[in-house]
Amino acid sequence: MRVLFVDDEPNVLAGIRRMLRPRRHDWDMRFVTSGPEALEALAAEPADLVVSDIRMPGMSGVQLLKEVRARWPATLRMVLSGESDRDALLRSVGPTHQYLYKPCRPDALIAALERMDAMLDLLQGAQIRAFAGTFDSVPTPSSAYAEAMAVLDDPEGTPARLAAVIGGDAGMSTAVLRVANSAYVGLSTPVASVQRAITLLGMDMVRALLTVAGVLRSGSDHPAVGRVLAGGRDAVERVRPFLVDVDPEVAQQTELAAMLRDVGALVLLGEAPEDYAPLLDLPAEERAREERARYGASSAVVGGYLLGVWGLPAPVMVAVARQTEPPLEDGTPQALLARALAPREAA
Amino acid sequence: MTANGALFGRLTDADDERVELLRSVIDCMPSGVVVVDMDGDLVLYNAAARNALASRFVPLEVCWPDREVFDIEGTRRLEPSELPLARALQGEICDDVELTVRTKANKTAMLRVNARPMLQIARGTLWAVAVFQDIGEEIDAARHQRELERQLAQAQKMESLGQLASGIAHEINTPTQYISDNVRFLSDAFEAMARYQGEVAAVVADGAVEAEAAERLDGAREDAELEFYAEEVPAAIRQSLEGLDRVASIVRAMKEYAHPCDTKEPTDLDHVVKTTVAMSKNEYKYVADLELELAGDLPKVACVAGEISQVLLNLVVNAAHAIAEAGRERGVIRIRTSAVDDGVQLEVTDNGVGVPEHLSERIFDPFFTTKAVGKGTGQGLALAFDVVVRKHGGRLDVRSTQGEGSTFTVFVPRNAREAPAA
Ligand SMILES: Nc1ncnc2c1ncn2[C@@H]1O[C@H](COP(=O)(O)OP(=O)(O)OP(=O)(O)O)[C@@H](O)[C@H]1O
Ligand SMILES: [Mg+2]
Repeated sequence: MRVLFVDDEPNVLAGIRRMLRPRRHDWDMRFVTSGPEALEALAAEPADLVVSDIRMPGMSGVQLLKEVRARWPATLRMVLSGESDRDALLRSVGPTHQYLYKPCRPDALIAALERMDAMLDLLQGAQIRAFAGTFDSVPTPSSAYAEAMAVLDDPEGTPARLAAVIGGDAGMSTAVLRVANSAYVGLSTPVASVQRAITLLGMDMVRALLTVAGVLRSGSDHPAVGRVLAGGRDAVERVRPFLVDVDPEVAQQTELAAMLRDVGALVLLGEAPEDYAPLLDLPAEERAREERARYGASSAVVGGYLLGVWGLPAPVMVAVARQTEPPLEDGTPQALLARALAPREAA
Repeated sequence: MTANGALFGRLTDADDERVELLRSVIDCMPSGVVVVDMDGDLVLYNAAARNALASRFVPLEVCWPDREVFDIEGTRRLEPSELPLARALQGEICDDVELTVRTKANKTAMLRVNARPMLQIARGTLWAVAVFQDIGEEIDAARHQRELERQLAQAQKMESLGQLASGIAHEINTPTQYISDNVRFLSDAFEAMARYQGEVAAVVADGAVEAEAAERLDGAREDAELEFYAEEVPAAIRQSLEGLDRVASIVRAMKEYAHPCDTKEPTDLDHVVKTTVAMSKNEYKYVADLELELAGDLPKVACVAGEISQVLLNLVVNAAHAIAEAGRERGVIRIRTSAVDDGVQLEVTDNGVGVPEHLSERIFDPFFTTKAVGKGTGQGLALAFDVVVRKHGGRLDVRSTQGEGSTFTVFVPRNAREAPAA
């Protein structure tokens, strides 16, 4: 993995460089102290991942990452910022895959880099990666969005009621979970529950987030989007009987994976609804084959990749990416989901 | 009204007309007028004083010590000898003495009193006259003004604190980042060197080195105190990392404090206690040790964490002041949390001066303070009361033994409902 670190404080870069020295054989790391320098370095040789500070003189990190998204969409974009207030976070939500907060424990930084590295392995192929790199969000039907806003406007609205609305929609769910899992919240255990995410962020933050997250976008109101979302809710129902005696955390991750199983398809639909919609009528395997032929990857893998780079819990990412493959390790969300989905789709 | 009788009894009949004139003049005055003889017995009063007497309260406490008379702050009961008429009877001129009178019905009035000795040459004795005005409204207006100013100042303070906090957070977070990366690096580097040194030692032990060289290496090893470093360096690194975690959590707490989110969320009060304590260390560390007795498994309660944190901070600051005032050795502040029936209870106990019984209600009043100017504004407990009782529908109580200490108890119900507006 080729990583470019950008920070106006040379000591920060030196600290990271020393700390990551043991990984020098895995990762090719470069360090620059400003946005323009970063663009120059990328022009000379692209990177797989850019890790940037936000507050820098001249070009801010947000500006830099927007520029990177436009010119090198395949490049993953991460923030490592000393600014911890919500405005800074909201400003960078669009062009940023993951938001880390200074001081970030060395272990946490290494884990985040490893996760990005793994995602690059998952989604091979520059073209599909560039394609996926332009997605900031998953389309949400405007009716669901309006319903969520109505709960937020209602003085009696509670996190539980809001979670009932958001939880049934992949776009808003991922938006909320992305931020709740970012270092902004500073939790050590990943969040797989929409309600918990809402509680952690607070209703005000959720409102602000939904307005900037870009979930209302091209494709939002295409009828196929509604169908795919209904399919997700259906998958949740199908997986529930398998979760009776399962560890609650695993159960939660499995349900989330079921709901988000078609995030990749939703994103592809958002880009080109008319082209993609007919694929939805194909049986699962045939559809995956056709997707691979067209895009170089199945929509399941694209979805897993997005959930991974957005920092959602790893088991959820794996379950989505490998939903149609044979169960891997028993008792994981991947195995549970694959098993729940298999019989009916095979029949 | 025997008092007027007394007046006429004592004056000579010759001056009936002048008495009438005098009476109508003083009856026209809007201020209360009271005259007493040298024994403090009432000789004369005017209509304003009589009205006050008949309607709301007994103004005559100005001279009689059998009712409660306090200083204008309402905090200190005045001695009988301190009352203006008593002083005037001692020949003193008392100008603009402000005081609070409390009647048995627990009504209070605030008065401004001027008292003068009146030499009665004919009788060879000293009387005294007091003229007083009700200044309740004046004081209310002044307090209102002060309250507005305070709120404004507070709002400005919070705003600049917020800006300051995010600026400071950035300034602190950046160096903390590279300090922790560097410490991690030093830890790796030290391990590598220790491994190398272990290898050297093993080679020496195997006798693979000439005796003379082995001796030199052993000597150098002792000179360099390598055993000591092998033990201490990893500990130093571990403790530095712990310290960095602490810094990070304080900065995070500061951020929470400066950007209070104002919706009620299910909250673990143990967590609130921990962050508040981390932040307020400066307030108590010179006078007291802090002991935490956290329940550890509290049910969450719906509250605005930032506000409860503010309440706790006020209680801790008060406790520290009370301990400092007691002036004994180092004190102890104990914070205890516990789950109770339908909510969570949070107690702050100190072994400071304690709250005198007769003040235990009043300490929650806005502006009630016993502290020197600049040290207390009397806002802490009023604000705490507002947050806990009105905003969260909880309770705030105090138990105290004067001279031994106090316990303030905050109860937050599990499902906070705003108390109906009073
Ligand atoms: N722990 C305590 N022990 C003894 N007396 C206390 C304690 N806490 C409060 N008091 C009394 O209650 C009064 C009012 O407290 P409050 O916190 O409202 O105001 P303050 O501390 O005087 O000023 P501020 O909090 O505005 O700086 C104090 O002046 C003090 O006399
Ligand atoms: Mg106080």
